[in-house]
Amino acid sequence: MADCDQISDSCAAVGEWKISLTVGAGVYTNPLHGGDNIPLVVIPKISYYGENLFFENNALGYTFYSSERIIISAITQLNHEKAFFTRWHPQNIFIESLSPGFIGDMETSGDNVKTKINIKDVSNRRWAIDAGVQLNWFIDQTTDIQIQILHDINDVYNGFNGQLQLTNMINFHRLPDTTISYSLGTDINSKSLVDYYYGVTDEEGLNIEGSYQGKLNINPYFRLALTHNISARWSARLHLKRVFLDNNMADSPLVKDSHINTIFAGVTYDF
Amino acid sequence: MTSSYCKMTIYFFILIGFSQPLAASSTSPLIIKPSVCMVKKLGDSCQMTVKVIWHNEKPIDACLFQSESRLTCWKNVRDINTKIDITLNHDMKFILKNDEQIFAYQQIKINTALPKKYRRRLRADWSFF
Repeated sequence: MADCDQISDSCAAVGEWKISLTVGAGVYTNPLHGGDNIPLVVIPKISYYGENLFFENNALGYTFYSSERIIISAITQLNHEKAFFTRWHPQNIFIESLSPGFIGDMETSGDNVKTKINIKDVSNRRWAIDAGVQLNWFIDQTTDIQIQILHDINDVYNGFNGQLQLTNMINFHRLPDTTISYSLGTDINSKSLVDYYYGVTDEEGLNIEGSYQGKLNINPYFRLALTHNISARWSARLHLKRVFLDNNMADSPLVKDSHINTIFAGVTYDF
Repeated sequence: MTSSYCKMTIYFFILIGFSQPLAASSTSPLIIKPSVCMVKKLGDSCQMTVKVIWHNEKPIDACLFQSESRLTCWKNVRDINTKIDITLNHDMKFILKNDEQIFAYQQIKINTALPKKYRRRLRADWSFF
């Protein structure tokens, strides 16, 4: 099960690099006050699978246990939280973000009053590099579960994050070139991660109402990808994802939205 | 007038029809069997005994070359039907020739016994977003 007899989207030829370029239109929304939505226009993808080593876009891994259904690997990858604090250019091509320039504004929701703090007014957050263990459990040919437990290795937030994800692939007999894959999962971020990225200190918050201490959060998500192979090298794809932010993150004065959306449609060329 | 054109056309096709088998019968293609050598993995050297078969109308002097290196020669021969040992580590052309001309050739290919290996991808597509 963990081996593949032939090449397919879920299998990689051992010892070969695979490079593809996707061009289309889409956005990765930024849930933070003053944060730019991240435009998705050109998306390169590079992957390599050796006997044990693998590299896939932002992750490098080494498989140290492999059985019929279970694969366990050591991995290291870039933590993406910093992306929300980064200025992206060209800015906001597709969806306008909130106009920046406010500090400590108040917004009311029912009886609750929440302070708004722009990301430009808090200290700079750093990129973190995570490392840890990933377990892939291939339940059958179309269903798998992935579990990750990671810790930052460059002394940024000094905490853990994890992911649990169930993925299922649907192939259609009448549409052999079309595949739908969907995932249900959750990201789990430790208190120290949430505090580092989304916490606000007294100094940053300018007053005691603005300060916020992060707590462990669990952000569930669903993801849907539709791929249609046009020819041997060309394919069309639609990608949708929504992450639902836990209150422990959404209550931060830096956070304006309670979800993160990824919407993308485009064509891919495999080199 | 028209019937003479028809006759000429028929003669022409009859002539072509006869000329091809006659030409083909004079020299046979070089046959080396087996034409594929199996190795465990790409880059491995392959050793095997092959059967070499060739026929010509007229007796000739010729040598069999593996790419640029000479393997064996024949003198005043019309029929070749022999076994030789060959060693190769990539696809190679075997050529029957003498100083004046190339009589025939055949490519011997190397195939790996184990097909290309695949493994499951361990990251969901587009996991970054």
